[in-house]
This record gives sequence, structure tokens and C-alpha cells, in this order.
Amino acid sequence: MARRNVFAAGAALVAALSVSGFVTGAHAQETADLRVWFMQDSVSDKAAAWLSSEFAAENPGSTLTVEVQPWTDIVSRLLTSLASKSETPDIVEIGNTKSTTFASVGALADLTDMYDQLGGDSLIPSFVTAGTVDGKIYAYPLYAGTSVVFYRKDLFEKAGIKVPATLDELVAAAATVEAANPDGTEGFKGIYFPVVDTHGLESWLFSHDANYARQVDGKWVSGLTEPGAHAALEQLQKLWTNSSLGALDARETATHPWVPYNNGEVAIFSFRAFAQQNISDELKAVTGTMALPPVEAGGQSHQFLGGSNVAIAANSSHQELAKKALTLIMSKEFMTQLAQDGGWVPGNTTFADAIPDGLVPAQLQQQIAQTSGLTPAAKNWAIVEGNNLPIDLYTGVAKGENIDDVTARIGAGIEKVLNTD
Amino acid sequence: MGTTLADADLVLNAPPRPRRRRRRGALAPYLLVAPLIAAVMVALGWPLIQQFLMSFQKFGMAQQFGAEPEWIGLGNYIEILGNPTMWLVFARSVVFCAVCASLSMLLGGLLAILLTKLSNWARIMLQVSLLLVWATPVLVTMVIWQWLFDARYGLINWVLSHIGLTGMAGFPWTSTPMGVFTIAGITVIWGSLPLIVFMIYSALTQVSREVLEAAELDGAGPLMRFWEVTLPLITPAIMIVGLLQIVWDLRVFTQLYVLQQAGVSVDETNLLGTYIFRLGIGQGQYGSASALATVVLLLTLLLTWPYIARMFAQQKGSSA
Repeated sequence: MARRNVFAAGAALVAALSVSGFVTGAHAQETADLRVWFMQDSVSDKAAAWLSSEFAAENPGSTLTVEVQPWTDIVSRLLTSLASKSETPDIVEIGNTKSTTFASVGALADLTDMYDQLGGDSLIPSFVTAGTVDGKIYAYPLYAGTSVVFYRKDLFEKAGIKVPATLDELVAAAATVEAANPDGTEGFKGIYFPVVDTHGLESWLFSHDANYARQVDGKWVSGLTEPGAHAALEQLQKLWTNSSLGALDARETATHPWVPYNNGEVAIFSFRAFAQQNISDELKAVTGTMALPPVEAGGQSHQFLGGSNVAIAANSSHQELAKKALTLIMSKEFMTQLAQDGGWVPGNTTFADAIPDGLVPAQLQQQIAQTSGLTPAAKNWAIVEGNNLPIDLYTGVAKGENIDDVTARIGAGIEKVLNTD
Repeated sequence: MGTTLADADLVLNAPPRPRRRRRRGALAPYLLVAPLIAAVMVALGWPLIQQFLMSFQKFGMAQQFGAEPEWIGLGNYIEILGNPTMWLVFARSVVFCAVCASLSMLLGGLLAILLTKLSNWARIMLQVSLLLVWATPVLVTMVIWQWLFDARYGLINWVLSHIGLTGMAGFPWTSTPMGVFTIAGITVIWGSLPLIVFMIYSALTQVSREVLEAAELDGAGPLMRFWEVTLPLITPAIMIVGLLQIVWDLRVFTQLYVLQQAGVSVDETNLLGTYIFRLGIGQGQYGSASALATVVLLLTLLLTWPYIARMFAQQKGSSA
């Protein structure tokens, strides 16, 4: 306790918080076994172990258990678990696009007063926005993962292709490299481009300054009928029609894009930066990485920035202890480990320089994060994704349907869901 | 001696034994079934009552987290019954159920007959394989079948394209509704075969040899014997498994839900189970989903009632 007080003397605000925490602690002698839900592949075993032991050391008598959750069905699992006082985990990781949904139904505890303590302006701003409802902050950024375009430098060179500087050039590059097929691979295609990788595909929308929907006078209206969206979908359709592999692959297959890449079946694929670990040693030397190119040369692309927020369940009966655990999660040690082990951009960008330089340079990831875009921050957005509407959109386009027909149909579907109370 | 005769007479003409022992108002039988009834009430009754109450409320995500629900009378029901999607999904479910239940009964029946004709070791092999199918968790089954149906690396497309159907190379089964229903149908039938086979097989082994021999002596051929003797004798077993199949295949959920995750249009592939789940748990519209579940329960009862009635009538007939 003496150690706590010494530590607390550092900053007035922090001191006030910990002393009040200490006082209630002394009164109630609160000890508890906290449960923390992290998503699959988010946090390394090492980081999780550090969190558990550090928490137990700082809070004698209490424990912290990390429970790893698969991404599939997470929305419904969170909805049922967070609603139950006895079953709820105390701290949850929530996908950034889903944060608004949970914050607005009262599933998460109000953590506005922890903003400065947890990192303030160094926290990824778009993630804080996703966790904010009516000016109150319910969730803080845990980490972000950027998508990167991986391509075969050797094949590009043999086919005489420059690194694409615009989206149109990327479309053309895929067609050219496929036609050249420098290694003579049977069934060779330009790019592995499955429609279920919706987050990779919506980056094309964002780069054209389009989005699925926009809020106009308190109502959500489809953004898919805008010219920017049309231009993006046209480029995508061109890729799918002429030079893509696996457009309609099942999710299970599509989340392993390095399989066809390592087989030499394609020259390009786009995926989260961590895919670099799965590229075969043979190809590592000839693999280049880049951000999705912009619409106009020299311009700015806006990629979807995936990642997670972290929040405290409103139904947790150990709010004070949970706040202490959250402080540990947002601490330098934990954030640094997230960056080191997972290669993630940590929620507090101050610690981003800990990202190891692999195939994907840390600086490239930081740059993508800074210019990132986000799906509509609507309460019902999670339902749109849960109902596969974005997948339906890209499936229609990939199958060669008329773009205006597809956008009218899916746009109406999105409007209906987003405007349902 | 006279007494012995009288006793024998008494025994022969006595009413069935149990009736003599049962006293009016005896507690024991009720106590014995009480735990069972309590368990059913807790596991089924309570959720049903909750569902029924909720179906008259506007119960959304905010209510799940503590807000007061609003009573809206028949609002949910009016919305559900006026929604063409719900009728489309219902019709789709009935067709899916009819196809799956009849195919699995047919295949199961044939396999059961096969079991009676096999040599010992072959029968044991087949039984063990069926047990393995029965023991495999649905999710594992789903992963395996999805791999088999994988567009580019799957065995099915490889075989199809090698037997001349070259158009099937790379066919994306998991992203077309018909493909998804095909895989779902196969996995549903696959999963229910063991129970059907074992039930019908055990019924087949109960058919007495004497009766069959008698029929043979009377000049009945193999087909005739099966049709006129064996089939009527195993009908009760078939009826029971058949009913189970209909109920299970109407509310099929896991197989389809897993396949929807693979990336197919949800609207075009929803069956009743997934539709209610998506409306309730997925979209947080618990009120509408409860009303829908109630409607579906009634429709299911209506649909299966003739069948159940026939089954009861048959049981009465056979026990009388």
C-alpha cells in the first residue's frame, strides 16, 4: 500500500483516483476473481500471463483470468453474457466497429473520467470516437491492425510492372502480371480477392471518399449510390471479372490467403499485416508490401482500420478492481507487448515504435493507421455486418451483376437496418 | 381341492393386477413423476412462459440491459404475420424438412435392411462407422464437409471435374444458396442416419422368424413378405423416428448457421431456426422473435398433428 501511495503521488489526478480506490478497498476489503475476455490472436500468451501475475501482485487476494474468445458469433455471445450479472466477464475486448452498438444499449460502464489517465490524446482517435456515445466514453482503443497489400516483386519485375501508384494502376497490374504469367504457373491469377474480406474491400470505398451510409438529419441514408462508391465498385468488378482468384471462397479458406500465394497461384493479396508471418521463407525475399494506393497519384488512400476497443461491463460487480485491471491493460508494459508480439499498432500510439520491423515496416503501419477510415458509427452497424449485407454487396458485384442494381438493393437493406429503432 | 379350483378360477377371471393394488388418492406415483415434471417445467415451461409474455412486449437490446419493456399487445404478431419474409422462410423450411426427412428415412431404412443381410464382421464394421458418425460433434462434421466442398482444394469438385463435369471445377458451393442447402441437407441427413438405422434395425430383429416362415410356406415371395409382414410390424418404430426427423429437420440450426458464416446471403438461406435466432439474438429484437417463435410452434404443431394423431391411434390399436 505504501508503494501504491508513492506511485500515486506522481500526478494529482492519478493520486486522487488511487487514494479513493484505496479507501474503498480498505473498507470493503474487496477481493475478486476477474474475468477478462480477449479475442483470438489478439494478445500473446506471454502478455496475458504478465497481466494476470501483475494484477495478482498489485491486488493481493484477487486474481485475473484471461479467457480467449473466437471471433465467430462474438456479437451474440457478448449480448447474452454482458446482460447477465452472474455470467458477465468484467472486462471485454470489443471489435471497434461494434463498440457503438454495445455502448448505446448500456452494456458498458461509463469510463469518461479515465481518459487522461489511460493515454489522452495519444489514444487512436477514431477508436475513441467509436466508443463514445452522447459525449460519454465507454471503451478505449486496445490495438489496431492495418491491412497491407502483399505482392511478388520478382513477378512484377519480370512482367515489367512498376509499383502501382493509383488504384487503377493496381487493377491494371493484376491483369498485366496474369497475362505475363512469368513463372508459367498453371491456373495463375493476378490477385487473390475473396469477397468475404469485406474490410479489405471497403477500403476502396473509403479511398473514393465513399462509405456504406451517411447520417443526414438524424436518419441514415445509403452512401452506395454516390458516384465515389460507384467508381470503387467498378474497379473491384474489373478485378473480379478479369484477374482474380477465389472471389467466392468460403471464409475459412479466405482467411488463409497466404496458401494460394505461397503456392504461386497469385501475385498479389491483401490482408492484415500479421499475414507476413505465414509467407513461406522462399517467397519472403521476393515479397513487397505497400498500402492500398490512392485514387489519384500522390493522394491519400483511406483504409479500414480494424482492431479492438477494451471496456468494462456495466454488469460487472467489481468496478473498482476492473478499473485497476484496465489501467494495467493500457499501461506501457502491456501496450508494448501487444506491439512486439502481435505486431499490432497499440491503442496508445506512444508505444507504436515497439512494432517489430518485418516485411511490413512499422512506419507503413503507422501511416495507414493515421489516414484510416471507419464503417458507419451507427448503433445497428453490427447487425448489418452480422446479416452479411456487405458480403452480399461484393458478391453481387463479383458475380458481374449491374452495379446500380446491386447498390440499390443492398443500400435499401442497410438503410432499413440502420434506421430500425 | 375345491378351494384351489376356486382360486385358479379367481386368478383367471381376475381383472388386470395393477388395478387391484391402486388405491384412490395414492401419493407414491405422483411423487415419482414429480421430479420429472418439475424438470420439464423448469427447462421448458419457464422459458415458454417467458417467451409468451415477451411476445406481447417491445423488448429490444436496451431492455436486455435493464430498461422497462413496453406492452404492445398483438403488435409483434401483426408485424410477423404481415411479413412476407416470414412466410417465405416458413415455406422454405417445410420443403427443406420434407426433402431431408424423407431422404434420411429412405436411406436409413435401406441401410437397416442391409445390416440384416451382412456377415458378422461387415455388420460390426458398419455399426462402428455409424456410431462414429453419431459421436462426431456437429461443428467438426461441418468443418470436414466444408473442406470436402471447398471450391478449389475440395475433394467433391475435384471428383466432379474429373468425371466429366468440367464446369464444376472451382464451383463456389458455400456462396450460393442452393450449394449451401445442398451441404446443409447432406450434413443433416448424415447426422441423423445412425439413429434411424439403429432404431429400424432393432425393430427388424424383433420380427419373428415363425411368422415370416409361415408366410413363405403360404407362397409369399421376398418382396411380398417384406411388404405384408415385416413392414407392418416395424411401422411403429418407423413412425417414431419419422416424427423425430420431422421435428428435428424443421428446427435445423447449427449446420445452416455455420454455413452462413462462410459468406452466403443470409436472407436467401434463412430457415426458421436461423431466422428466429438472427431476429432475436442477432438483432436484439427479442419481442418480435418471441412472437415469431410462438407462431412457429403453433404452425409446427398444426403441421405434425395428423401424423401424431395417427401415431397415437396406432399405439392404442396395438395395445388394445
